[in-house]
Amino acid sequence: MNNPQKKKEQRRTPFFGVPLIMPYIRPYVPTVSLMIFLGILSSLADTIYPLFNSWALDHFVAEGTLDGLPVFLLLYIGLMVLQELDNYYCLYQCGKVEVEIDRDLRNAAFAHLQTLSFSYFNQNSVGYIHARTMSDTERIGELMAWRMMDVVWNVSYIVCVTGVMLAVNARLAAYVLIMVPAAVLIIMYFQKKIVAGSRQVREINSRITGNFNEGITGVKSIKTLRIEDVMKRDFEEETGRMRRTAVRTARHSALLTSMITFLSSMALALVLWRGGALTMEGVIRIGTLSVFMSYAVGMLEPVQGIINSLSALISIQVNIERFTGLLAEESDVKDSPQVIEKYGDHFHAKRENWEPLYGDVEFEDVSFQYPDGNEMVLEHFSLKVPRGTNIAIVGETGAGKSTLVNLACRFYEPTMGRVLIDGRDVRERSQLWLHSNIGYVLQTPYLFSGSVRDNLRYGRPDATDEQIREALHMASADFVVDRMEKGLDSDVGEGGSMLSTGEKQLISIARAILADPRILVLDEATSSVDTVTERAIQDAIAAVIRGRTSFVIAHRLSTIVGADVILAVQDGRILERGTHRELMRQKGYYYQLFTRQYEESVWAE
Amino acid sequence: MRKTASSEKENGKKDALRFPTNISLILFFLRGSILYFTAGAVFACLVALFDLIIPRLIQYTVDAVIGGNLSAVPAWAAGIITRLGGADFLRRNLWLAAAAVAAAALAGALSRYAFKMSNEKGSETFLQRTRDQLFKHILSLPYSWLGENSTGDIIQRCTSDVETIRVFVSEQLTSLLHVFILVFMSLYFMISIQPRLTAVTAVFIPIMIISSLIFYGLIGEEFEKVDSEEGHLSAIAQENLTGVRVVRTFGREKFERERFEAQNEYYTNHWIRLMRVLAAFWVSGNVIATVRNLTVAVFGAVLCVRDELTAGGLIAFLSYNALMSLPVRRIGRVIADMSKTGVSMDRLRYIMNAVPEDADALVSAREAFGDPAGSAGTLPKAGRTGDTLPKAGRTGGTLPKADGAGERGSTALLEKKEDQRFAPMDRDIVFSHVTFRYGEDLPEVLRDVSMRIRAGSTVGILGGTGSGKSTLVLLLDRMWELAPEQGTISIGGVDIRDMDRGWLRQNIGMVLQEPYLFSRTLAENIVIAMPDASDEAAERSARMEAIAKSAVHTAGESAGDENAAVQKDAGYKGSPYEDPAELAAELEAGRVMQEIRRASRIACLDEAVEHFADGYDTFVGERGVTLSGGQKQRAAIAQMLVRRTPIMIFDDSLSAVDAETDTRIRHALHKNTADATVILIAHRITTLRNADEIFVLEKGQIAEHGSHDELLARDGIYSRVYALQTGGAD
Repeated sequence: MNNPQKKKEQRRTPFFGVPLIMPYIRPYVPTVSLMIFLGILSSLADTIYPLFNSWALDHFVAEGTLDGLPVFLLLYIGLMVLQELDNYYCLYQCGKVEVEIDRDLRNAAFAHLQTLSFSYFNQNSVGYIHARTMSDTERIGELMAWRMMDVVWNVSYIVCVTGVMLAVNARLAAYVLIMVPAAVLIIMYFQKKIVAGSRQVREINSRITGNFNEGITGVKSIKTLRIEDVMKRDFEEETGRMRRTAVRTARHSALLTSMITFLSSMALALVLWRGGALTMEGVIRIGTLSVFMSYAVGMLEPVQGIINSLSALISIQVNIERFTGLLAEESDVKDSPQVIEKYGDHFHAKRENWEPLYGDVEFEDVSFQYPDGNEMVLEHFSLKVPRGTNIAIVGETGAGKSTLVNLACRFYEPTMGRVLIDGRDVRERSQLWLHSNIGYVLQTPYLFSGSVRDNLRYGRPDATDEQIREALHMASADFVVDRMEKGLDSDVGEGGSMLSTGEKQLISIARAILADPRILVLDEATSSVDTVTERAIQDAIAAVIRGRTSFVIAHRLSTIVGADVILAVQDGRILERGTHRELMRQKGYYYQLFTRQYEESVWAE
Repeated sequence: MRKTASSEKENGKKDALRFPTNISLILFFLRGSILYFTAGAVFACLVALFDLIIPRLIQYTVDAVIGGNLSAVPAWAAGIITRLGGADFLRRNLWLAAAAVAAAALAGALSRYAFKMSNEKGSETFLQRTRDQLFKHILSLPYSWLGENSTGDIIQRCTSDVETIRVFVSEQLTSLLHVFILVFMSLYFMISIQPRLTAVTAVFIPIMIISSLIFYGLIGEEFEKVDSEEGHLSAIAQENLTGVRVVRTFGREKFERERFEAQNEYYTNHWIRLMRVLAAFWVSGNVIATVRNLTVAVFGAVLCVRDELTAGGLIAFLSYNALMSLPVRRIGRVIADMSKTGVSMDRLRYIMNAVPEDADALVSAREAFGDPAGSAGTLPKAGRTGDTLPKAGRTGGTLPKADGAGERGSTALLEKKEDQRFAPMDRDIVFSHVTFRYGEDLPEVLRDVSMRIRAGSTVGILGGTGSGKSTLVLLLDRMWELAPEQGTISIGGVDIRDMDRGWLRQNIGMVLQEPYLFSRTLAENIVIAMPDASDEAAERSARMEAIAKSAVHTAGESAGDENAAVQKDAGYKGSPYEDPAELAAELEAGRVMQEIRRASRIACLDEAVEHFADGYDTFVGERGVTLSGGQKQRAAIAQMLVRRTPIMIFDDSLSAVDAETDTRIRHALHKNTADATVILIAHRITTLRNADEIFVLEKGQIAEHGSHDELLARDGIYSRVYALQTGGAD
């Protein structure tokens, strides 16, 4: 997880990385252009309102007449209606463009993820990838749309106001404008500190969350060690630090706000002083004075807005780079263009060209090293698995039992040597072709939220209820469905949480049976299930491997006594291979494993 | 859901909740910060005052000075103007008026700064206190409570619910107050200028508030819908990532992509619909504000023409309207968001009302002996007993005084009980007819277990998975409490239920089956429970802090130094030491490091440590280096050894180390724990064979016991397991 991040640090892209995502923005360029144009018009209208007030002062108040009031009203309301229609369009479009860009980016990220190989998923946590797909894209859309519009509105407002002021009275305008560079300097000075401070606050905050987590998950240790006071003291140190840092940061932002409002009022005072003099000299009228005073008050907020938006825009560079980094991630298992030409890609299968799969698997002088590992876990390994053979792989947790299976399923490709399916190199056919013929029952059975039926049909979307029932029966899983209120329509909950582990196991076996694969991989569950369910699972396994090429990764060795070949794995290497009887005779590693389990079973009597 | 005897008890005591209402909880959390908030409210008034004075100053200047119409301003203002030299003088020296504005602005800026800082200090102090109290309380809760509640849920309560309440106190309440002051004061100012025009303006205030309320009520539900759709989308992505193996092995990439895109489209369209409503709201808000300005301008102009208002007055009115506009529009949102706060408070109250493990012991003592103080509502402060606890000692000769007793109100009986609270621990441990189950409808884990563990002896407990071995020692450590009818466990004849829980645990060293390492360095993990070491660390860290503080102080308030202090804080990684090198140097020289090395050598951890680049300073735990299961176990053994407790328990603590290391550790332990009472739990017979006595636990009952040789002579489970482990299985 550290490596990809570091890689990205080094790459710096111009224009905040925006050119990198240009393809996703291009469709919205016409809409955005119109929004910018309308945004400028809206700012123009904002500039005009104070002129209305000034006219009212100069005309009605100063001259003491109500002549022209209807026209005044009409124009005022007319301007308002036009501006608000304009605003409505801009706001609506801005929101729309935002979520549409989000949507496009998310779709692109998700589709790309579907083509990546397991090594990517093994090297990056689900949380990390999920954040790339969901949060980074969201931030990009938000910033691109809203921040950009903010800049448009604020810049055009400042330009319009400056224009009007210069046109009316350049000298007086200078008094207002003089505040702008001062404000820019102040804002930029504090902005940097505030951003840095908030980052620190966030970091401390996440540490505090970590402390909560530690206090709760480590409770058993905390209590038995009786270190409540130590934990409490350290926690309080952290929260104290949080308060100090946050208050320090708050000081900057309080200073900033106070200084900016003060600067605005100073502009106002200047206008009152110099403008008042001009009014008394008769150079400008009282209305003009009032309009300058409104501008003076309203001028600095947009300046602050622009700087905030710009710094936010700079900050999306990180998000853009993370996103484009995800898209640039290349799968280390890839179908060649010729294969895609013939068999189709991940999303467009050309089933008419698919050959049937019979299930002969052969490892031919295979050497293998995991992309993130630094030693060969297989060296010159050869094994012929004729169709219908039952291979069992045994060894301790973390010994690397799934390596062979990963290669046979082409989740990884051998570093050297070949894996053959039905006598042909596995790379000659598409991944989808192979995977459509493989059934995989995972160690931790995974069900998707939805109904039992949806889950069972996952590998065979067109299965009828009858076929489903049959598969359930073969897997001895009828009782799971019968027990549930709505039968096949019952919801299994997120990740199958409504079912017990054993039940999930049975359903996932039924799911594999229904897909009717030629090659079957069974990764036996390590977690304990009750005796009845365990018996059911074992029966189901026996039923399902009949007639198929199967790889069983076994934890309960009693299940695999009858396997055609047993491979005993330790530290990622295959130590022994043979039938149960042969291996027991060797009195080697397999023998050790087997006796240890047997001993445990004494307690279970 | 598992229910323990103690949690049943707490359910029956609903009426004696610590925090019966949300108000009581919020007041409790507000202690220490309420002054800041009060000061903030005062400054908020000043801010409003100065903000509103400026338009007034301008009005007077425009009317009396620029317009030369002294009669347009109130008598007192005219008086001031006259005293200053009259309108003419001011006309020549208009900078005086500007200076008055600037002065008001400066006063405004200062009070704004003071307001923001008091509010922020209040907010952060509130946050700190809330979190500290929650954390402290959670640590004091019984182990069973934490088992019954999901970690994720508790953490969510401690983070996002706390944040909701903080926002409520420091932002929502404040902005409500702010709007209230602003509206009230500007109305006051406006009335003094022109009552009828004020009435016209005032009409718009309820319109704005009500329209924004209606709107936020309206979109609140829409927002929830969008949120839940986003949740669905997020869940699809999550499931796809978690179940990536299933997706690939069934070749359903296309299906997954279509599913995601469909939900994505649905969610996006929902948003777009909501955007339309939002845009309409913003625009309608604009329209109301613009119409109000127009009304004020036109009506004001009419009044001016009729000579009922001056030009300066009209300008002031327009300014007041502009000032009020935004805060009033925001108020609907604030009110709508506030409804969430109640829920969050309930969720925190759930935690804060859970009864601490020490409290129920006290309550039951009160029930038994009466409560002279009659103060059922005042629970003892958690951690209190810990603070006044004596150092772990192995003799009963010097019994510490129970300082805590006096303030809790004592009777003779209570005092007698107090004597037993710190009973000596180097005595025989006796289990007598212990029967235990984790919940009412759960099977019994232990059934009528009786055994005597002689002081200073080593006892082995052998049993299969689920035989109740771990439960036995958890009961001894009072992680679960035995009800009176479930039998008794006593040490030196004193029922452990009469003992101080902290005292008990302080004297029992236990290495858990699945040890937990904290996010600290290895050295800090090992000494974490070594009383002297942690005291030293505390002192040292306090000293460091003092030094750091004085350094900052003497260097003055310059921003550069503040920065340095910030960086120092940022570089901090959860260690009580400012600088790891300093820690290493200090520890190296001291007794603590010797102790760490000694313990690590016995636990055979030293070899592993040599492989770490940072040695004992290697950062471990969730945010550090991941240790293997065997390394964790060995670290936990070292962690226990430095405590030098009179009772030592190893709960299957060598399961993850290889047989050779197991042997070495056992030999080293045997030499170093000679006078301690040792309880060894294992399923490897070699681990236990040298024990003075071995108890074989089967399905919650003691099936057989005796020395290794005695048990072998009997043809029981023990001998069968032994045969399996040493001989052939065929």
